[in-house]
Amino acid sequence: MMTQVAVERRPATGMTAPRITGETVLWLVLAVFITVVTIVPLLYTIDSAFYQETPFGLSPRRSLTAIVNVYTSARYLSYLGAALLLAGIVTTIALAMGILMAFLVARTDIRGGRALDIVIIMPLFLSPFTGLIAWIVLGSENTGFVNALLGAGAARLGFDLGPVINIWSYAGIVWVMSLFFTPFAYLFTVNNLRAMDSSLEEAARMNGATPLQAIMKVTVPIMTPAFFAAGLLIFVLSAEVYTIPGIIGSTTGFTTLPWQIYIDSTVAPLHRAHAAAAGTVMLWITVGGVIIQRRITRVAERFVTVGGKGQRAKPIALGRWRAPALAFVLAYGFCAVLLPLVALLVFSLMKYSSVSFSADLFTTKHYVDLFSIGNTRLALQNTLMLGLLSGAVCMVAGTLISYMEMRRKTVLASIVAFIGVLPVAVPGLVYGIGLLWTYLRTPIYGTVWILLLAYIAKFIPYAIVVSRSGILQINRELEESARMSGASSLTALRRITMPILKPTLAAIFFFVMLMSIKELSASVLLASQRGPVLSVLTWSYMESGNFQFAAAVGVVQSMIMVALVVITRLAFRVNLEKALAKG
Amino acid sequence: MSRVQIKKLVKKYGAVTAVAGIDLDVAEGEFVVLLGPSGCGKTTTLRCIAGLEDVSGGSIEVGGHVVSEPDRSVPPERRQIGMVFQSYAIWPHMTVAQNVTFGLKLQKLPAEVVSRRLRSALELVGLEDYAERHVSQLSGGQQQRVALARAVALEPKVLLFDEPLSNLDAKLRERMRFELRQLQQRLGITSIYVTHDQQEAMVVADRIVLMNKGEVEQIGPPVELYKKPRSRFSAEFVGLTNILGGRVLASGGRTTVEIAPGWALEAEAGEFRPGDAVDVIFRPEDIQTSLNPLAGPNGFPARVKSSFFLGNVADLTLETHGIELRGQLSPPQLWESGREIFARVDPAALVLLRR
Amino acid sequence: MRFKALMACLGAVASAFAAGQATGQTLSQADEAKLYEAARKEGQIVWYEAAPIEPMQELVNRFSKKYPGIEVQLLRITGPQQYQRFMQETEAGQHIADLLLLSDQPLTRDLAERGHLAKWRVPTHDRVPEPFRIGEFAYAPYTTDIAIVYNTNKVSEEEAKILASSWKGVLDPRFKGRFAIVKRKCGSCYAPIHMFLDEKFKAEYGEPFLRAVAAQKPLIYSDNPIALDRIVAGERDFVFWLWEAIAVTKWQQGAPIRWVRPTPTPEWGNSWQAVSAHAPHPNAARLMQNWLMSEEGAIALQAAYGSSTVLTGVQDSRPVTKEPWHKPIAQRYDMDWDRWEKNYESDMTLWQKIQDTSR
Repeated sequence: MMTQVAVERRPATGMTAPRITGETVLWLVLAVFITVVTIVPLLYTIDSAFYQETPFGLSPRRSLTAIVNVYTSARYLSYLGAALLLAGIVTTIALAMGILMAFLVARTDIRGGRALDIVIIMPLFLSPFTGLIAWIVLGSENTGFVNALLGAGAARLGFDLGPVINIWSYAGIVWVMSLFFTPFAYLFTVNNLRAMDSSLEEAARMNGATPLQAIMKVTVPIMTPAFFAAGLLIFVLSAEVYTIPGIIGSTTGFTTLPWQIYIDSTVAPLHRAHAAAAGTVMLWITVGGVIIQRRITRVAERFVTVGGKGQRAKPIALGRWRAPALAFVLAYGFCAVLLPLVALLVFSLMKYSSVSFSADLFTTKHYVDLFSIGNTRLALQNTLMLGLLSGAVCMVAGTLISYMEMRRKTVLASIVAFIGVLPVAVPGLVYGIGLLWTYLRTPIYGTVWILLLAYIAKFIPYAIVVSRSGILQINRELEESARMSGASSLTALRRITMPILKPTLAAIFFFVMLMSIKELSASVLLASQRGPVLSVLTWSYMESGNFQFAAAVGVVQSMIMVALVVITRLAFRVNLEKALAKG
Repeated sequence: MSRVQIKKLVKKYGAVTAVAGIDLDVAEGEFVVLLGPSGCGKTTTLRCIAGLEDVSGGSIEVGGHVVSEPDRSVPPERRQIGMVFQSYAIWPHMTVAQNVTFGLKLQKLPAEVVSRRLRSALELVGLEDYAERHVSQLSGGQQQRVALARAVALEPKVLLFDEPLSNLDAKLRERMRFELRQLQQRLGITSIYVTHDQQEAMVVADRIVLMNKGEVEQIGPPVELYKKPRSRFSAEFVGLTNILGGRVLASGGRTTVEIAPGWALEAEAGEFRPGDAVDVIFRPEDIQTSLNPLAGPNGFPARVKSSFFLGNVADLTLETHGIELRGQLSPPQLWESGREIFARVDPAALVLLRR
Repeated sequence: MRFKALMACLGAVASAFAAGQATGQTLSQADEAKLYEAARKEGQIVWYEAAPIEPMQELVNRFSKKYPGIEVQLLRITGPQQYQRFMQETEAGQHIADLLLLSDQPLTRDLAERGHLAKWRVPTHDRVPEPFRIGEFAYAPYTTDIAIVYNTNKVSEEEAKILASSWKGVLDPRFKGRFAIVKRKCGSCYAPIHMFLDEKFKAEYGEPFLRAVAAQKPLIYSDNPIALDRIVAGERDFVFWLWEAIAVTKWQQGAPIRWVRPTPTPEWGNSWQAVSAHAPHPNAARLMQNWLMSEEGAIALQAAYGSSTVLTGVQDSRPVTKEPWHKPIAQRYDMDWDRWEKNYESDMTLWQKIQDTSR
């Protein structure tokens, strides 16, 4: 009653002119920060495409040569074509595998149920680059562990098997990339499948459709927008990958645009303007992808939230397919997690690469070195710290940016959210150059903090995209009722929205943290002697020819990620596999 | 308890006008229902009163103080208005008690006040044993009651309801209408209620504001709205109705309207002149039927097209002079299809509207 | 153009040196103590280096043992990137690096010409042969030379002899499909091409030789370390050229590899050691520059990295030289830096095009 009197005594003066609320101020600060952090490097990157090149770098003179070359020459267009074709194939396979597994876990009576979540998501704990080393070790034509073991087995049975797999081939590239992108397809579709109103399928059954027909005629069409959205994201991400198609691709004679960007920006004679120009091509792909993806997500959300009243769909009985279905998921886990990790571990204990497993081949030297070299210890610390910080910052900033975009619906909020998503597929190498230029004249340069800003810029898109779908699932009346209960908008955000979003927030935090720990291409350009990180260290050792040490760092890196999952899980008290699937 | 005055309220979203100049005066303790089809602007009006939307024109006053004007507005949390949402908007991460006391604690009220209000609010809605339950364990009706308790516990000046019963099943919905009405009368809180269900509106409202396309179509007590619709829209939206186009033949003590060649109906006097085109409106229950010609004016022969038993009434479709009429007979009386009978409408039941 | 200007400048330096031998820097024991003291006050060195990280770390450890109190921070950045980064930092006034170990002579020369390298004459200056120094701005501490590296389990001694006999040994039909090449642009990748396309050898090698190599259907790897690793593992039998030091490192770890160096053998200074003109720790940087180019540094380098020092009067102390199969270079092929700078890109493009025909 006290407050009532207080308000009554304050007549029209209680009116606030244009509403400036607590979260608007916070958002404004973060929006300016994010915009500066993402757009300035982006502009630097684009700008550097418009210079003349010298054998040593860029001349101060302006020129359109690089742009014209990249956009019109048959050579660069063929690189682009190769990248798009590869991304298309990888996306198709990863989607097919991811969706199939999502369907099995979400909608059928497959044995293991939700425990399979962790099996399917596990490959995220392996950086694709480390995974590549593992698969080179496993799948080389003549010396791969797989071929060696199978060959030895066959020899015992008295016949010559010859090489069974060869990773140094186009199929090998597709195989490795598909394995690593499948978890993304799974993550981005499994929750939609879980949320789908089962009555739609049941209605189809009542109309005489078999279970398979019901799935094909009802579930698949309804889920198509969600599948398509997931596909686009995978497409954009896989189009950016350069290490796998580059390193393996040389033996099969094809070059993708991202690999050419890598060559142009690291190998003498440098073609930095060409690299930047090619970076802008990748940018267009992202922009197109983001626009289509948003439109589709909107459609998808409309579909999915129609039903979604929480009544869990009755699992479809797999019958005699139950065992093969489980075998399929486990086989995936075997190929994408267990096999590479075991290979890495064995490999990291070798003195040099070999398939003759004699006792004197093995050594623990690399692990001893790893923990005794001061640089490595520092890199461990830095990697951990950067992962935690960039995860936290992206979580808060990304969520707030999405929140303002979706709840305030102002033009400015939409623009900020759009800008925030842009860096998603600008190749790290090119973006790294922009980042370097941005901070070169600031005291931040040469410290470990430049990496923090780089990771925030690079990974804020994930935070925005993931939080957007999380917020979409929250009925805005939940916030409005808090306002009606006397909470300011900031209080409503803090007390109502954020707690309900907790699983999504945890997912963002965790995801960005993983990505930061794995980030290589921008880190290579920005890491300083004072701020080494694990990923760059792995790369340095691999480039120096010490693959075994690189593998040891990779193993440790994976262990750290697994440990972090456990810690975040305890700290947030949420099931991260589920939370990730929600994002 | 406060009076709510809405003056020339306009709300635009870009080029779309959701509310096009509404005037409404809600007296202290009055229960007003905003009724209309979806998209008529009723929910927007309610959200403007709540402060969840800024207004584009006009003003809203609560308890004599302006709370909304274009570009100036008291934020919702400072209006002391309680609201019950369509989705109940119960916070899933809190218990029943946490939901109800959320706003009270924000006001930093003493603990004993908080617990007293919690208790009385839960008693009011009959959930006193559910305080420590998690809301996910509650049924839809119970969640609805929590939402109500939460709004009431704040002791607001005004209570707003945004289609609060639309997510409940039919039976529960019907019961809750009466409960809501009784509760409001006991508390005496000025209440504004949005619904598209005219029966619901009839039960709870002191006055109904019928809205259409962002404008007020008619304001009045439920009976007046039903008996004296002032527009074709009112007549059609509230209850079942027969609307017959016709032309005034004669006026004076009674108005005679020709509906079809050779068929005219008499209505009570009105300000019409011969030759005026009018709509003749009457309710299905105003039709009387008999095997024999009925005494009094407005009797006519008709053929039964169909007849259904609905329990409390019988639904009847008649045809006369090539025109179909709907009737509802109470007590229910069934006619055989194809039967030639006689029907009649009392002149006092007819409403004439200029076309 | 630029090169000529530099040569003029170098000429001037050389004549000044000739005129005033007596005034030239020679570091006495007392001078070194003074330098060390100043260096210790600075306490730190930042070394950008392009060589493999482990051997360089080993060198740093030895330096630190001799000169305690100076912390050396290593950052491995490969040649062109190091050049770019150092240039950008320097132009922005961000002076971070004290020492550079930069690959590619033209890049180093360019930095010297722009005034970004300190002129610092190491005490052992006169013991560094002329092709291995750029005035007093940069020194190549070790030589880089080209070798055909093979897996001893896969290549017989007889086959190794064929490979060693001439660069053309690789064209022997028995090697078809058995070896690997590297498709990349780098100094070591280019040096043999530079030789094969030399006017002198046009008749003997030239473009037809390169085409013949491609016709042997080698497997093409994207980088040198990967090629070496796969040869060690036995994926292919040999790699048609790497540089020796990278192979020595693996050999010392026990890998089943050896190598041969046909005649003439490209041998040149690929990695250049210099002090930044804007070094934040100038004394420490000079102290380490001196040590790296000293006899002691040379021996440490030979032990750690397995490449031979350029310093005259220092014995090739690498263990591998004691191996009976290891033969010294019979005849060195020197680079023509003018032609290198002029033709590097077009020659490399040609070679990569020819490589593409092999698939």
